[in-house]
Amino acid sequence: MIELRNISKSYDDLGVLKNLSFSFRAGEFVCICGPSGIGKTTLLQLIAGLEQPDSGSIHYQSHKLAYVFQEPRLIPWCNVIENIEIGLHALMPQDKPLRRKTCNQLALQVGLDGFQHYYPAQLSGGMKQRVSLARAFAVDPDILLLDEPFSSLNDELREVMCRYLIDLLAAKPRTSIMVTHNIDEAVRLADRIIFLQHRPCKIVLDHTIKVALSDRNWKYRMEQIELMQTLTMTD
Amino acid sequence: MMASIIRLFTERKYYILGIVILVAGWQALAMASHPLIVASPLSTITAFLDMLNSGELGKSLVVTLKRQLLGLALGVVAGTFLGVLGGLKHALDSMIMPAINAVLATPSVIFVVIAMVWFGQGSTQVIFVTALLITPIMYLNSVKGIHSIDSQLLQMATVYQVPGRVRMLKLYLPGLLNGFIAGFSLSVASSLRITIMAELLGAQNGIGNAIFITRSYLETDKLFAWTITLIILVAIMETVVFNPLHKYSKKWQA
Repeated sequence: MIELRNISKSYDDLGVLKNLSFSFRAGEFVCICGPSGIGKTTLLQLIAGLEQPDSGSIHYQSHKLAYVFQEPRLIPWCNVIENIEIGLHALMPQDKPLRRKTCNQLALQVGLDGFQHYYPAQLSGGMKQRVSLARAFAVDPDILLLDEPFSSLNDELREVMCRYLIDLLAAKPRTSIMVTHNIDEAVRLADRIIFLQHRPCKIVLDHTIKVALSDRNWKYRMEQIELMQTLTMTD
Repeated sequence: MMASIIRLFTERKYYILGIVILVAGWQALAMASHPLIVASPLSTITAFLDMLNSGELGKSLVVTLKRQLLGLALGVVAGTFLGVLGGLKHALDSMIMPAINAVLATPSVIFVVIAMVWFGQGSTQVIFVTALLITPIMYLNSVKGIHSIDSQLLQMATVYQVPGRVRMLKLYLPGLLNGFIAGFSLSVASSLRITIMAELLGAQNGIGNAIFITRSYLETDKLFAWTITLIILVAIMETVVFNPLHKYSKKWQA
């Protein structure tokens, strides 16, 4: 579980978050939606510890977290396996064979078999983001933070990436928080959708989806999108 | 074999043309002036072969190269080590910069004179001056290399709690490589110039001393032969050292 209590954050005179409080239950997949520049990424960075709040506090049940950034952020001079491995150095510093085994399994799971020794410059955008996804899962995180990870991909690749993400999450429930602009993506993946609006931002909708992932067909997704558009507009 | 030679000539025809024009201009200048002022290409080659056959070239070359390599190695190690520290810690960079600026602002010949006072004439002063003047070049390029490392990668390393040793090996040192290569290629050529200057003023042997003697006896053909030797030497160093390093750094930028 993650609990944010009265979090405030501003950059110079620009107040981004003000006394924001909410919590994420263990194992749930939450999508945070809202307009650009509202503070969604700031929120993730605060949870990841990359930024410190001006006031308020964040409470975690586990500190074992992984972050899938908007850009893949791969080390250009490391190949696919070495990039996936980067987070494992802290967890299993002495056991290189196990590190490599874990990385190879993950490369296989995200469809990068045969590309293990390729450098990032030799991979397509979708493949790079799959490496980034594999790197996140390699550390077996309890908390998974995703910052619009598929925003630079086309619809087809986005769908493929969603499937990879669902498969990876199926093995073990993890508290996942994903920032996205794409409501369809949110309806496709999330157990709960939080809409942020205004500046400093506030929650205008906290919507729980009760239908199982497998039953969310396109018709259901369209209905949900329409519902949420209505609810957020009437606020 | 023949095909590759023809290809080389076709690819680098303008470069070769430039060399031909340079030699032709040199020949014209030699014909227009006294041999003691400008030695002709032919007399230069003759002097070069004489020096080669007598063993004078080989002996001086070995002495100078030993000094250059030692001075270069010390300067590279000191400059890179301090550069990594300065690149990582801004406060250290601020503390080191006055010394770097002082070395860069002072005419090199002053350091030769100071080194002669401290160490006398000979190898120690030559190596000291070479190392001292190479250090700032390596320092500035290393700091630049460290600063050029993508801050987003460092943020990723923070999230994944990458240990300091791995961070150094996987992020900082490879990130440093571009700055290092730029500094090193500049240092290789500069160190030869510095070594020869220091030898010219304060050594009893080596290429610098040989040049000093040729000037004293007005052996212009030998002076030109030494100049050609140095140009060839720098070209060889670039081919052997710089090009493979540059190629290595490019391998992930496919």
